[in-house]
Amino acid sequence: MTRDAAAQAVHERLEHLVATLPEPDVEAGWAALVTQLELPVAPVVPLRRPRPRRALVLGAAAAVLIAGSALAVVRHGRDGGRPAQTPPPTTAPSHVGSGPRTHRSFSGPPTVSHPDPPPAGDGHQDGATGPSGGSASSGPSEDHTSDTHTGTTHHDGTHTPHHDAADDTDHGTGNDGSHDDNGQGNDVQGQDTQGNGSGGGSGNEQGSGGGKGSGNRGTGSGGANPNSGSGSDSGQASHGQGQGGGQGSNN
Amino acid sequence: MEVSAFQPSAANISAVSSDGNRGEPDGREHERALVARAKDGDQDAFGALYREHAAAVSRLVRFRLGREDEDAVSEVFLRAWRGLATYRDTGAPFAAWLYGIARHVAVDVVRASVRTEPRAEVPDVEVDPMTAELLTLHDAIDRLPTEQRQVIELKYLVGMSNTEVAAAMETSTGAINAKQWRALKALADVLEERT
Repeated sequence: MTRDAAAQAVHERLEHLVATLPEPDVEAGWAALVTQLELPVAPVVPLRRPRPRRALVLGAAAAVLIAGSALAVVRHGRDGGRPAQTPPPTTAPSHVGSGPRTHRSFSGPPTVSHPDPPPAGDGHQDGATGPSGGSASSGPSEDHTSDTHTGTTHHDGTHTPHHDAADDTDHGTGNDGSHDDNGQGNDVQGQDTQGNGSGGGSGNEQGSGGGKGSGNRGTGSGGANPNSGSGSDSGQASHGQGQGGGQGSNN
Repeated sequence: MEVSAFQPSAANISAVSSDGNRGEPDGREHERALVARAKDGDQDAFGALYREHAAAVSRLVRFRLGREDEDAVSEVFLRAWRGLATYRDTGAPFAAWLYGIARHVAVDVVRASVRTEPRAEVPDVEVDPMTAELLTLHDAIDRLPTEQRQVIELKYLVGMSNTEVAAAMETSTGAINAKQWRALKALADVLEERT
């Protein structure tokens, strides 16, 4: 059977079914219906119940809210005169090491506070033996008698003699390192110590003693770094110029 | 076979409708006049509408519920009477409006019967062949798409012509012919699967 013939068969089945359905008793049905048509339809009354408890609950909630706000204001005003409690200052660990300090990446606040914070304004305590003055010069042998020597030492340890006056007191001109605070810490500008080196060297024939000017390093100090932020101190100081006081003596 | 074989004919309409002139302009004007009078509260006019459409509504309810239910038929006309004020003549026959109400009533009856707990065991009774055929076709029609199912119900159960079905579904007569054709083929496939 093709689909067309099947559709025709369904069409005939539907018509046959409708034709065989029994017809309702229309008059009896109308007689039963007309009695219901005359019945009055119940009016729809909007439901408006009085809700005294709603006002009570809302009033109580408002009272609690107002009381809470007032209490918060009172407490806030009472605590207003007190100094704000700050956490114990955490200082950055002092930089003890050799060579110029470089930026250090900061990773979070320090977990352990330093027990001995550096003295304020003293700069960093550098016991470093980095590129500092004071190293024995290996320059040409010269007798330096009573020669206040301004020893300028270089990184490579060579010494360039200077003939300064005896009363020449050069103050170290150590540059304070450029403090590059990347963080939020308050970096105290450090002060360079004067490179008041005292020449204690004794020259010999080889001239290896003159002007043992050990200029203190002008250690640019970042100062106490109370911040607990992510600032990194990069106080890189140049060399101070020490006073060479070397005395050349021929052995 | 061509689609034109399912074109509405006077024989088809008269076979399912008690009013053979309903598809003609005079029948529509007469129906509109009855509806207008019924909206004004004329029960006699509404009685005339009842007598005209009661058979179609009864078939539809019986087809949807699988049994005869006079209360459901009465509920359809009762809702129609109470809702006449909201009726708007959109060009569709009044039977299309009754068809929508009947579908809602059938759904409500089915839901109410589901909520009702059976008080006793339902005895096993023999289902007469007509009821079995009705249930078979009902299950098959329920599996059709909505538009195809509406075309079949309006065409065969309510007894509308294709023009009236087109007016009720707000489409063209040619579209109704095509939908009817596709619905019959789909019904044939469904019935063949069941057998």
